Amino acid sequence: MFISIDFADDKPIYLQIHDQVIDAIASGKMFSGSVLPSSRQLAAEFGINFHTVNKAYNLLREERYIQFSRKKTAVVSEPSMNEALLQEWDNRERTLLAELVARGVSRQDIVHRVDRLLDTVGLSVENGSKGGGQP
Amino acid sequence: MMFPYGILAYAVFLSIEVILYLLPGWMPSTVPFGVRIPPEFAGDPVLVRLRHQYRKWVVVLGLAMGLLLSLASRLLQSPGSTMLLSPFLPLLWIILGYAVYYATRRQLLAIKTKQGWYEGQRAAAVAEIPERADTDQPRAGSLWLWILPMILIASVTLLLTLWRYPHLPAVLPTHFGPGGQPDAYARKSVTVALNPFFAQLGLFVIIGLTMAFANRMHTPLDPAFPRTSSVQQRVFRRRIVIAAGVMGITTALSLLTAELMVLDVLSLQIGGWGIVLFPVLGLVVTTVIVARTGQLGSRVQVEAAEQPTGVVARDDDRFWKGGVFYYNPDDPAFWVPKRFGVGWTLNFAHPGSWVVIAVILLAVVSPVAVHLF
Repeated sequence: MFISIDFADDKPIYLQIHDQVIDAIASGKMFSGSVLPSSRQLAAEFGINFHTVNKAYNLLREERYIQFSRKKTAVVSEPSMNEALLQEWDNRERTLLAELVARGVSRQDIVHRVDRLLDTVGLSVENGSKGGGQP
Repeated sequence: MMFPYGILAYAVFLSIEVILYLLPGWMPSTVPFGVRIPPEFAGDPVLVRLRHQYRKWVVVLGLAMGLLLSLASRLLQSPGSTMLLSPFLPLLWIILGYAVYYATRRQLLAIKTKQGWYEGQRAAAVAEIPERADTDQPRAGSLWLWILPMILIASVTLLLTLWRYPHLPAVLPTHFGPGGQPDAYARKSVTVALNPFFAQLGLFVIIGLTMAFANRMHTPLDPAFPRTSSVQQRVFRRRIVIAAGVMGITTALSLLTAELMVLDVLSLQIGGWGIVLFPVLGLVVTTVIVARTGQLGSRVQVEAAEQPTGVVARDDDRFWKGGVFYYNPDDPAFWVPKRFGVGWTLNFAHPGSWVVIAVILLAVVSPVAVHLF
């Protein structure tokens, strides 16, 4: 799998790396036990400072997506969820939903949009739990 | 009749000319003459014109050097003169070839800046994360495929020497002159008799390190064609291992021939040819491999053609001092792909590069120093 960073993007580079690792886990390209390259190696391939990659890795570790093994290798963790994380996610999602509601987008459109976006994360491919979608 | 060592010298000269001539065609299309350009300019007529001009000057240079070579060997009137010149002439040849490259690069840089080739481009970088940790490293078996024959050749060398040792004369030749006749001798001892064998062992260390190093060398992918460059680089790494293996085996065979001459099993005439022909064969095969592969596999055809992603690699021309020395303190990479050549070079801003330079200097200077004192 490829990870790309866009130097012209407003989003900081460490966040671009962070987001793509989460995306890779969501789509099943990476799973618990997958090994990430060392921050030095990844930085060398990107030609960027290795502290930037470290920052991405540290954030991913704090969020429990990855952990560091004894040899300091970054390894993808078992998926985990807890009430606090769900609560925090609800808050962020609520703001995002409010943005659309405030601009007058209908409830049905919003549900449809979220549904389509979920498809792009590859969730529907992994488990057949959703098909036609809720009306 | 031409002496075998003269042939080796000519083979080296010829390969310099051939490599200088073909080199522009071996470079990735987005780095012509060491200048980073967006993919849409890769077919620009200006590049065709610059390549013609570069090759014209390389041919002129080759003719001039050939003339110099034949003139010098006629003046010196000795069969060994080509050998005598061999350390200096290739160096001069390469430096002048570099000057042709430098001039061409300057012109392309000026055109690129003036016409704003990089303006409005979106700069990006791509890295590949192997989905299984070991997918893109060749199996360890492929290294042994090359190392085992070398061990076999070295064993034959060792056993033959030990077998013949009791029958050897009290004085052994240790060096063979340009005409193929021995010109240095030493009193008989196991160490002297095994000289070529020790050289083989040293060779295997160097070749083994080169293969292991090339095998795991990961360098930046082209963000415009990530899939293509990933496949090409994988092939490139594998072919460099093969080329190093071929060099290792042919050089080991050449040293075995030298041992046979020391042991007086082979006549000087036949042995002289053997010593030379094996490395020449290695040189030819390696050059063919490199010519078919190109720097970072740029000449390797990838089956599924990839549409450019729309992003390009960052313009890193300013980090290439003189077009050949990479100096970028913000790049954590220690080794980077050569900008005009095949293989890798150092990031001279990396502290580790000074260690490498010190080791090389030490390796060059210490034998000379030992010889002097």
